[in-house]
Amino acid sequence: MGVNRQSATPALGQGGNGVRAEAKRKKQSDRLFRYATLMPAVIALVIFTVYPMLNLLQMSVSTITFAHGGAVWQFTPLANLAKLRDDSVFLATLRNTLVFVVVSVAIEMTLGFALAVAVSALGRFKGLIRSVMILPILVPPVAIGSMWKLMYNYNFGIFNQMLAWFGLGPVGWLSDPNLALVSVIIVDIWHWTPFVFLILFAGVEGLPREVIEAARVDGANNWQIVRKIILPLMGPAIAVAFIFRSILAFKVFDQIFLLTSGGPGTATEVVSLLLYRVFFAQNDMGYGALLSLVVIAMIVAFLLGARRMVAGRA
Amino acid sequence: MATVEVQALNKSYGAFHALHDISATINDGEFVVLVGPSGCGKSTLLRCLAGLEEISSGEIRIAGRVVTDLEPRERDIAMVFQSYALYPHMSVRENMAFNLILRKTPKDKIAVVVEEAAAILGIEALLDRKPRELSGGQRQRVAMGRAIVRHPQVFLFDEPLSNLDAKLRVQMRSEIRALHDRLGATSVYVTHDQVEAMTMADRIIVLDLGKIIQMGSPLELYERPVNRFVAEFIGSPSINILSGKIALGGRLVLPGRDGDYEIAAPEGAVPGDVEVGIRPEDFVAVETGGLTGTVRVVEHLGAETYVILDRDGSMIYWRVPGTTRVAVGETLRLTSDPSRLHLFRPSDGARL
Repeated sequence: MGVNRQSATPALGQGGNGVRAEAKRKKQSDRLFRYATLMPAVIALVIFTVYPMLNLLQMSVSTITFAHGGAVWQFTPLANLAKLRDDSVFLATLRNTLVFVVVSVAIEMTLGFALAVAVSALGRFKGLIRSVMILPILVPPVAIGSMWKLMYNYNFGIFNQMLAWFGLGPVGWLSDPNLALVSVIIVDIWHWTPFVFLILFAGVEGLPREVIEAARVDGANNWQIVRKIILPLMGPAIAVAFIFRSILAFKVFDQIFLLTSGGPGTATEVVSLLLYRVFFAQNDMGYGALLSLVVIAMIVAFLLGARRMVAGRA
Repeated sequence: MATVEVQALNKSYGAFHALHDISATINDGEFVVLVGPSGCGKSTLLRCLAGLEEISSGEIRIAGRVVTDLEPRERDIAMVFQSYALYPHMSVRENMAFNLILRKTPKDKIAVVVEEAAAILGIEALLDRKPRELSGGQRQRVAMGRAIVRHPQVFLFDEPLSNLDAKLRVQMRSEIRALHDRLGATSVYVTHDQVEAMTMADRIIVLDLGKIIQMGSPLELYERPVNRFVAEFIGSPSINILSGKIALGGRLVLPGRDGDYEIAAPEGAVPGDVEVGIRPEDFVAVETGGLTGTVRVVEHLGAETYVILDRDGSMIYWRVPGTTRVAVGETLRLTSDPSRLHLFRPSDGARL
């Protein structure tokens, strides 16, 4: 750009036409160069993001059968929608997923924020606590599943043993339909609160110290400092943690699959589990694709709704 | 407004002793400047007064009330920070009103107080802007505004001008001092800039290595520094320090390659080695005798000129009126009124 502006000035003088043409040619080749360098990224984006989405869209309006050694696509836009309308399990999974996302994300955000503020106020051991907090994130989901399954065990799990000391229980943590969803939410909170903590801790540590001190001098107590200074300044970090957690919570699969496989009944059946069954057990690609789109739409709607709520309060 | 009393204050960070036995009284309505080189403990002392640092031992009283263990918000103080520390998510108006809102002051009263303070500082037009939309000088004013709306017992300033350009710094210096006089406040001001200290203070407290070295009015410090450190710290250009000897018979001898320079020693001087401090403006050029030096650099500032002479490899600053004509390469002879000399003990720099 700077080159063009410089060469425009002599164009006013003698021999201006030649200079102007030269500038124009340069501008064109400059533009060409820009497009050429952008092209690989655009092509990669189309191949890896846009094409799969379009393919998913096409699948969602088709009935796909496997015959004659290949997939046969039939355009049946209403058939999958009708399936969705009549699918009572889908409604249950939708409800379970929403409960799971709202409750687990809300608790993880609150706990993670409180921990971040508390740990940041510590003088020593900050680094140690931060390192220890990473551990749950490092545990592979399969290990988490078997570990918690043992702890939740009806006969010899540690929770029921502890309840027994107080003369209570035993409780069917994973077998009681009223409790199973709570139990898997507890596991999710254990697993993911550290993640929220880490993001928010970095945010709290990055806050300008003098601003918080100014608030202390200005007469704010600890609660007011958190509420009126730290929380608003942490907006961007909170948004990042919230978006990540919401998206991942909507797509939760492994830990529920390993703990309850969606049971008892449909008590912990979430959308991803249903998707899995439709795709891999029922081989219903078209309907599965439609469900996938519904999940994507749900996530987008949820995030937009959350943003509106925050904007409305600000 | 209030008196601030500090008694035997000590502050340690683990094994590091940041402040040693600090005792001082800042009178009601006084403007006291804490000055010293980086790391001397001046900001730490201010933060102790504010309650932002817990002290290891000692006592702090504000208006007769012991505040040693009180939270900053309970001390009735206002502080202006080096980085201004404005709340980035609040408008200027909200920044200034924050304390009043926390104190549940009625809204109409807040509006009046904020407008008044804004008028004093000339920032009425900025009230609805966010801090990021302001220049450094404007932010500085907002930080001051945030302090004055509260009518605190004591104002604390932590190097508030160090982020401003030189011209604005000079302007804000006099504005802060004028504001202090207008509000009749007690102010404690931290700076590493001795010019700020000299121009603004009723009284200066010089700190070094966590200890109070000297307290006094700017002129007292300039005229009678208690040691070589204060003498060198206060005054610009810095005082000239020369090695000499008090000979028997009350003569001060400054040895030089081109012959010793001898003058009458100040009264009561004891024979022995001394360090002699001579302010740059205390030299007088003479035709014969005196201390010889070759002019190396002449710095014209307009109203005055600094002449830098080389005397046996060490540099001597001489301050003369701007009208004086001196040429580089000239050899000059300088002398000084014995009563203007400062003598220091070579071993510890203490004033003799």
